[in-house]
Amino acid sequence: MNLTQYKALFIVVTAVLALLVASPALQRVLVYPRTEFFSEISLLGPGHVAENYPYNITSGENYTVFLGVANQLGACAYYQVEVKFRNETQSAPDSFNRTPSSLPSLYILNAFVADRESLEVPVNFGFDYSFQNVVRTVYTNVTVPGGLGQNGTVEQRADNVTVLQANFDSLKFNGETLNLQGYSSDWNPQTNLFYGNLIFELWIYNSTIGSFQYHERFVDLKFNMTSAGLGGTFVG
Amino acid sequence: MRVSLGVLLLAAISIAVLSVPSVVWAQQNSAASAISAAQSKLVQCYDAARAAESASANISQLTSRLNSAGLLLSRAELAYSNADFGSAQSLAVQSQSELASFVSDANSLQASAAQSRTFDFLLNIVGSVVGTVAVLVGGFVVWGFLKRKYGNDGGVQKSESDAV
Repeated sequence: MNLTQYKALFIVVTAVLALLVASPALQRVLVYPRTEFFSEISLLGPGHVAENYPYNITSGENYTVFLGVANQLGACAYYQVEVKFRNETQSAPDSFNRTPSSLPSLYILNAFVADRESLEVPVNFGFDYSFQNVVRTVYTNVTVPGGLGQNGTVEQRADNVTVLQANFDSLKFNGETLNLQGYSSDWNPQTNLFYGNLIFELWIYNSTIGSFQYHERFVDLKFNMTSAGLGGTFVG
Repeated sequence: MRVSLGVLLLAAISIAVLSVPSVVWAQQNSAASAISAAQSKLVQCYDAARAAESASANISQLTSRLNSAGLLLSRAELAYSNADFGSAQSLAVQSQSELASFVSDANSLQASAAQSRTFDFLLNIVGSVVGTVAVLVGGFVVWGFLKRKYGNDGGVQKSESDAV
């Protein structure tokens, strides 16, 4: 028997066996390091999918969405989701400047999420609001013709117009009643709606400074506050 | 007699009216301090959960408890902002009691995770490295043995063929 012709086979068998035995250690050593650390905030519709979000809102009706927070930061995180409500003219969070809305939060949801885990919170909400006519002063620029050989001048004219306004009373949020008194939304003839915007801003606890910081993420729901009680005239 | 009764009645009403704000103020104060204590407790427990997680412990149950306590705290803060100080205090206390023994649970989870991590290290890293070295050394030894045995036989065969 010539042993040298089995040398290569013997080396290959030994090497494969050695690799098999070394695989548990190699598995831990040859791990591609994590380079991206981030958090996610998401909203899903009532069917747990990204569709059929509530849009046309009726006073007194209840709606359901699912709020999700996922953690890929490499360690357990302590989040707060600040719930805010605004109309068209009020401060909104800014994705470009990465700033939160300056409005006060109506409710703060504490959320703890372990690394590589996510938390889903069902959100049941409903608005109570009514409508009333309010007088608004509308300023328009009017060109007043000048005399013979003279140019016309532009003057600003103030007109009082009556507009319909949605006045909010409360927001029912997961069984809690949040006070919305002082919140209102005027009828917008350009967009044909009473605009409402429910915002969920993500804040994160910073252990170094011992307080929460805006985590530069938010999700929101835009609504048309319909006036079903007024015969549906203003339903967008 | 009638005058003194009137004075007494007036004094009683004055005391009652004046004591209402101080009772409310005391309630507000104790609700605020209960909320503040619940917030501190939540942060302390969060730190304990983080430490357990860094020792590779599965902290799903811990985060679940933290979320329950966090929900109670959210409700307490809402009640406080609605000037319902009694409910605010009660909810803040409930939030704290939800986290009773949390730190010790997290610490024991951390200790057992550290223990299983040591065992895992010994088995998978040390065991694997030692096993690999053993396979390689064993391979050399077996090769040497085979070489000595069959290498010599080959030599015998060679010398026989030479003789023929």
